[in-house]
Amino acid sequence: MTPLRITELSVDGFRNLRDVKLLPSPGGNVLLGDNGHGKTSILEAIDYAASLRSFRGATRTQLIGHEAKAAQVLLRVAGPDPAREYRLRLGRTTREITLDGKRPERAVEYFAGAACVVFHPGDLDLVRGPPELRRRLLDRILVRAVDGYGEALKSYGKALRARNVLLRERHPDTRAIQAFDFPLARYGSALVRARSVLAHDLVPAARRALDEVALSPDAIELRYQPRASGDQVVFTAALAENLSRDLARRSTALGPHADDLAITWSGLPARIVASQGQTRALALALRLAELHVLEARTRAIPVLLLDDVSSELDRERTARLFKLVAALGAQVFVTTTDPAIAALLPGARRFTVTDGAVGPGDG
Amino acid sequence: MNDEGDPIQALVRLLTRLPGVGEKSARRIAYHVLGADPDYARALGGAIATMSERVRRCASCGAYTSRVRCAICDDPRRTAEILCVVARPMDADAVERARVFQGRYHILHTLLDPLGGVGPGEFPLEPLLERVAREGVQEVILATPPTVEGEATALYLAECFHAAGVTVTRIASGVPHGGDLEFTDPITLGRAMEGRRSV
Ligand SMILES: Nc1ncnc2c1ncn2[C@@H]1O[C@H](COP(=O)(O)OP(=O)(O)O)[C@@H](O)[C@H]1O
Ligand SMILES: [Mg+2]
Ligand SMILES: [Zn+2]
Repeated sequence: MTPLRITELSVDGFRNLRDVKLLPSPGGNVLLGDNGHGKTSILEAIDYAASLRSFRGATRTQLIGHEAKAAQVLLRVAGPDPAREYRLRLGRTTREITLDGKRPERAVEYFAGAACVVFHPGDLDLVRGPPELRRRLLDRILVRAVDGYGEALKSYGKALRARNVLLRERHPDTRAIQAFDFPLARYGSALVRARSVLAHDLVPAARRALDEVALSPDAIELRYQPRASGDQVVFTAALAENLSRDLARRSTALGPHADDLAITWSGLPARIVASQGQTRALALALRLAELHVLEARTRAIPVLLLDDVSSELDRERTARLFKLVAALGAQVFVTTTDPAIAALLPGARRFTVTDGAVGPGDG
Repeated sequence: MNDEGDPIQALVRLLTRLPGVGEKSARRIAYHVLGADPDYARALGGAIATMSERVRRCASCGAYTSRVRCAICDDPRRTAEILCVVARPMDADAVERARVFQGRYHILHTLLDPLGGVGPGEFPLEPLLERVAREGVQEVILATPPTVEGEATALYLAECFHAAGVTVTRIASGVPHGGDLEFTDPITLGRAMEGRRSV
């Protein structure tokens, strides 16, 4: 399988980064520097250009440097297809994105061509946090793997927000509300179908990943629990049936926006059972499963971005992870404050991050 | 930059309010006009002013016209029995280019779009219902775009007309997903018109 490789990265005005230009190695890359200097920002710039979403949940305007007019990111990506050029420019009121100089026509084409998998300290919430983060994991994979998914997700969100606005009116107009049931059920059932198929594929990928992080694959179970049907007709009927309840709560209860990917450990919710260390390992396994599924679905190995792993994993687990990463053949970017951690990734290219600027590392 | 006294900048600012025109293309247009014959600039300015003074919405269908009623509404060969409801004037133009439609149009100029501030209270439903009753329309074709708002508008109207006992059809698929009617080629649209189904 061909790995995706970022061959060039330029960033300016993104958080505290100024005039950053990097020529990464196709294998390992270590971003070394003290806290608060911009290491995470570099990973975020890469992933934002690739996924158009902040993995920390930041809004667009929060990403623009305080002193900057706009945030700009350029990514050159090589892979199984001819090299691609991603350009992103975030202004305070605008967002311009181009793929090879043109506005991308289809979401899947954009997202699949620069698939990244991020593992960062906030990922503990994949196990412990609200369902939204786990839905986002599914959606992140699907916008890259399924043609039309990104568009359906966007349309579903629009229909949902419109319907909720109507439900909140002082005198709700049921005819208008039900008019939005059609697009809601059409796109919503499509999302449920795609997620169900993915959840099915995710099981063997997660088993492999759990094994890789030394957790027992037999004890842990992943299950996607759609509350609305993948059948458009059934979905529509359920919306009609729920209308009085929706009117009472003034929002739409049912649909893929409310689903969860349940993680159980020996039959109990993992968030209750898993220790801190196990929770970390489990979160990492979910990210590795993301990578395996993407690799199988897009026929390219995604780029791996590991933020501050040494704060998340002990030395032994970190060493094991780096070995695994080398075996996967993925291009990887690792951030750390600790030169000793950098040494665990043999042959990696080093960069030092100081006050928003990047220089060559020593050694 | 201070554009108080700078006529170029003043024009550029006005041009960037046009759809799809950014700062760069606005400047290109401004320089082009400056480089052309001064008569052209005068004619262009005059044409824009005249258009906005003289063109209004057809009293009956909402199409842009310089008369009270547009040419289609005034054409006795076009049947009043079939009414094609579209969102924008260019959508009616697109259907017209397919040359299979003998009826008349109704241009909404908006869709049911609660997120954009057009809820059922703002949506221009009454004039359409009145027109259908007044002109004895037998069939309403809903040709709103296949977008979230377009589909919801079609459904909303279908329900309203069912209640009034009017036959409603939706333009058949063939119009690409997420696409605008405007960009649909006449053949696809012609087929869509012929293959329309009851809703
Ligand atoms: N919009 C912004 N403009 C300028 N600086 C910012 C912005 N957002 C965050 N920062 C700053 O950027 C610095 C780098 O943050 P980060 O990338 O998280 O550092 P690291 O990962 O190296 O610890 C922090 O000091 C933070 O305060
Ligand atoms: Mg950091
Ligand atoms: Zn008319």
